[in-house]
Amino acid sequence: MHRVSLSALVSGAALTLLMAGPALADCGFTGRTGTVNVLANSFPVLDHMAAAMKACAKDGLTVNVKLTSQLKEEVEQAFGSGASPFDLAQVGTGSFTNLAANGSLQPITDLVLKYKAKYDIQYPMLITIGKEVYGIAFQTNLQHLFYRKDLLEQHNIPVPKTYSEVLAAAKKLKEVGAVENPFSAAYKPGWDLANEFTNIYLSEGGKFFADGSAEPKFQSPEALKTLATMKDLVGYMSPNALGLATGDVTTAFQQGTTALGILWATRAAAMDDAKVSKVVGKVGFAAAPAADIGAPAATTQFWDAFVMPRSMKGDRETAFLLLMEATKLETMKAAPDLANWLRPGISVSQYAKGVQESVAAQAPSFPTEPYFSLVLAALGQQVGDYLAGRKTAEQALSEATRAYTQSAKEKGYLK
Amino acid sequence: MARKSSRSLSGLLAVGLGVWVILAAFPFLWMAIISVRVPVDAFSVPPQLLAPFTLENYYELWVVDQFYVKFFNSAIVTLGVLCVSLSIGCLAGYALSRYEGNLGFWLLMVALVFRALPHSTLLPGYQLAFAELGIWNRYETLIIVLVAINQPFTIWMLRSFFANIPKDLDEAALVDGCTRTGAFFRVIVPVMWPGIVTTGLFSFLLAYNDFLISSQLMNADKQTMTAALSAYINADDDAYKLMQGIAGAVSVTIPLIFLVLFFQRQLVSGLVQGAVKG
Amino acid sequence: MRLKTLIGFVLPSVVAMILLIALPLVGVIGLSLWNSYTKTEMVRVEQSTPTGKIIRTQPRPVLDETGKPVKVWEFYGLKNFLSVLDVDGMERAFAADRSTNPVTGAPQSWPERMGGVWGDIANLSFWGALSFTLIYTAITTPLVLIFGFLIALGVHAVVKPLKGPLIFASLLPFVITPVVGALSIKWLFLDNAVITVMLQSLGFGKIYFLQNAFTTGFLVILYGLWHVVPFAFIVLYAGLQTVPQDAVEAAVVDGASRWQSVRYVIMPHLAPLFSFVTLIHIMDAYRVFEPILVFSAGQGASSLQYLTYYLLNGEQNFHKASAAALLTVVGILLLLIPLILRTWRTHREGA
Repeated sequence: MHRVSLSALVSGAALTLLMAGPALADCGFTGRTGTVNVLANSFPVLDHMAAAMKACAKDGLTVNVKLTSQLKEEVEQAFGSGASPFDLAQVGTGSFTNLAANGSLQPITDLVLKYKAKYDIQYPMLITIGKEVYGIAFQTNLQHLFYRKDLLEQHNIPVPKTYSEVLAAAKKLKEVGAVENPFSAAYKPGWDLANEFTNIYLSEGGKFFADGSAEPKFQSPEALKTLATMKDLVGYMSPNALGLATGDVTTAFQQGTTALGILWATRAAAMDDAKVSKVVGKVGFAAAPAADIGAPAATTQFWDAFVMPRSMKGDRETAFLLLMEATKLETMKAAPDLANWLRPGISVSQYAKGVQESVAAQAPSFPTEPYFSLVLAALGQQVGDYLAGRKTAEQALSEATRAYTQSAKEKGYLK
Repeated sequence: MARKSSRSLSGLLAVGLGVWVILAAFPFLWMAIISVRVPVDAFSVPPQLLAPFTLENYYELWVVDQFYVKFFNSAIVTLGVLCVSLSIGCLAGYALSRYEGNLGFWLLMVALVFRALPHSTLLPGYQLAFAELGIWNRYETLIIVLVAINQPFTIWMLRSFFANIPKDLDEAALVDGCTRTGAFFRVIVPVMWPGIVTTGLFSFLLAYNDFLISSQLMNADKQTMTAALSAYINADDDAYKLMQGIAGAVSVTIPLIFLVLFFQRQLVSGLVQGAVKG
Repeated sequence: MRLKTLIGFVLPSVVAMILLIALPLVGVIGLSLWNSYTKTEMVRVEQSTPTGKIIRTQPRPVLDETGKPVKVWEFYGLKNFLSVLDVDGMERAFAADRSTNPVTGAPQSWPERMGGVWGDIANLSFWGALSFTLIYTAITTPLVLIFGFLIALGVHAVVKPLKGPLIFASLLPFVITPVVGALSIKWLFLDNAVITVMLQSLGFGKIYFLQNAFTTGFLVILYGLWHVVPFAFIVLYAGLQTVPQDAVEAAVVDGASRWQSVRYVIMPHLAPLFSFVTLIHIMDAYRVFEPILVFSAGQGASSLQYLTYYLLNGEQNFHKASAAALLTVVGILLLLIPLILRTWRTHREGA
């Protein structure tokens, strides 16, 4: 027993050293002092970028990077306060929109111009509103179709391109008993569920708001169709469907208990890692299914970016330089498969297939209206009530509209 | 007849207690078992009783991710809370056990209401104030917040211990010419150790187990173990991180196991004190 | 002891509690009476991101001379409370036409109509959370006392060398960090997890514990029992050590059965402990939170503290969250006031 544990420890250590991959490039600037506090998500890619920033922490410069699983809540509270405890933060599409709408972000146009040449800042990385740059993006991400190549082949099922094909495939898989739960997606009430609704609803051609206003428009025939599709899908999911988060869907694939599913592109590579997956080489990736033939892929494109608060304590130029270090070419090149990097030509492996096909199938951007998060909060509850059979579709939509209207009024978006 | 019923009763007793021990310990045991596996075995379908052993999760967590920094943070915060909470709690608890007027009663009742407050109620206030004052992300800040939250319970518990110490003891000292403070330190504190140890154990549990406040008030390298854990456990994007989180959960529990082993008796006697008088 | 001495001794604790509990509480009361938002104006603006460029009319924050966003503060009075209580939703629940069943179209009897009203109200966030919180408290409280007492009697009766290990194992669920404890339980009950598979092989069929409000609620209650029974056990066990042995023996000599000696000698002796455990548990049950969050409940099994958390993080409305938090506090006060008054009476009589 003792010997086993010791050798395991040694081999574990050796493995870690191997897995650490190519060493990070050195810090590209010197001569700056002080403290910079950074906030970011606890994803592996941010771990990697944090290491690039920490490489600069010497000669009187302190860099604190807090990796958190509650990024959205923490960043919005920190940046919203009079003096933000963080000088630099990573945000997703949704948080960026909220922060920009609250005036919590600092324009960094001057710094971008100053360092554009030195760090080769690419145009698609810039997030601009009007004439000002407010953020530097580094990766895109979206959900697409994951499927079991072997099972579909075995039962003669083509890779589904629309949701009616998904349902037909799921039906067949269920009839032959090929797998425990034919379909899986993150249907946990709250953000996840509302996001799944958004995917299908936009593909149905649905609209959330009246043009140029915060007036809700999602009590619509398209929304009823979306809800009906979702209810059909639930029939092929685990009876625990309304408890599934993204991690549970990933595990279901990796343990071979599901055959078709909607998952984030960042999970693709993990399907072929024998230490986490029993289905190595068996999972294929394709565009997210569309609501109907010819409709855009039912998914939305997200991006992640670094932003700086309007009121900060640390030195803004030092914070910006750290941001540059985290997003420079060498940092991204050191870990090409960790993310779908925004600099061209870095992430081009087989795992990017689902992303490329979805983008080619015109997957829209994630909605960036500042009041959209209020819609998500309202739908996240009501769609759950509908799927659980506590409300009719019409009831759920009208209550979601009512809840949204109330919160939009409280936030001053509606009169 | 009587013996037969007594035998079946003790059989029932054995079965009942056996079931309870399994229920109580199994979740933790299972967590410990899967913490020494690679992810695919840990969450295997169907679950496996035996699987290859690895310490990789622990190595990644403690060595690569330097979890020991968080361990020291936990130690600083927990000890800080323990010292401050007990010393000012002893003063208050002693005075309240000796004072007979109405003010003392109402102080205790207000403390009882504070004990019942959900902690999340106070959080928005802290965040705004501490960022504004610039005392965010400091050990002192977290310690003093946890002390304040812990104080209602500490005062109640210590007061019931002091109430058990005969008043004649300090009154005799007062007659001998001691001041109140002198009597407190010279006569009362020495006989109070069991009570202080017990109350201390509860303060330890509160400070050590606190997740909500520690995770919000502290930054990166100053987070406690419990707060840091959530970044691993909620990172459902990555099975490796989750496994390190499980290893972390087991690591966080180990000091608690030692605590229970060493202080079992005090824990029991403390509870009964607090209970009888509280 | 003189008042001046008392004040000197309690000052540090009282200052800490005033600064860090009472003041934030006052702040929360203030927040609950107001509403605030960033002032915005609708402008046509071009926004470009990695996923495309859009030109549209969208809100933009209005800035003051110093470049800070302008905040609008409105006095709301009790509006936040009414909106958390969802008075509108209740009115709709009562006003709805219930003469026929909305799904089948069949005419409904009066009890069915009342059931419909209740169902609609329980679907409103606040009332759903309140009802589950109360159900949770009502179910767990007696069970915690019963199981805790039975285990205490059991451990008290076993031979000495077994006592230590038994107490040790029993204390584990109590001292464990709550989030970790809730997770360790959840992992046992997922699809294809240990307990689920074990129950299946024992012939219970495949049970899905997160499938609806009932099963999720069941799991939350189960976790609650696992976490709190040890507390009741240890308090009652400690109490058992103080039961005068001769009283029990005398009862046995008088011909009392085992049950009678428990019922008429031991239980009266432990009465104050039973009420202590009840009090502490009700306070804690009323703010149940971690299992709700971890079991991804909210789906049918919500609690008052979860509601506050949701309003704060989901809707990001400090003001409504404050109102919800205060409503929780009001509930706690309602539970505590009778107790405080009773203690006050005994205190005055004693003085």
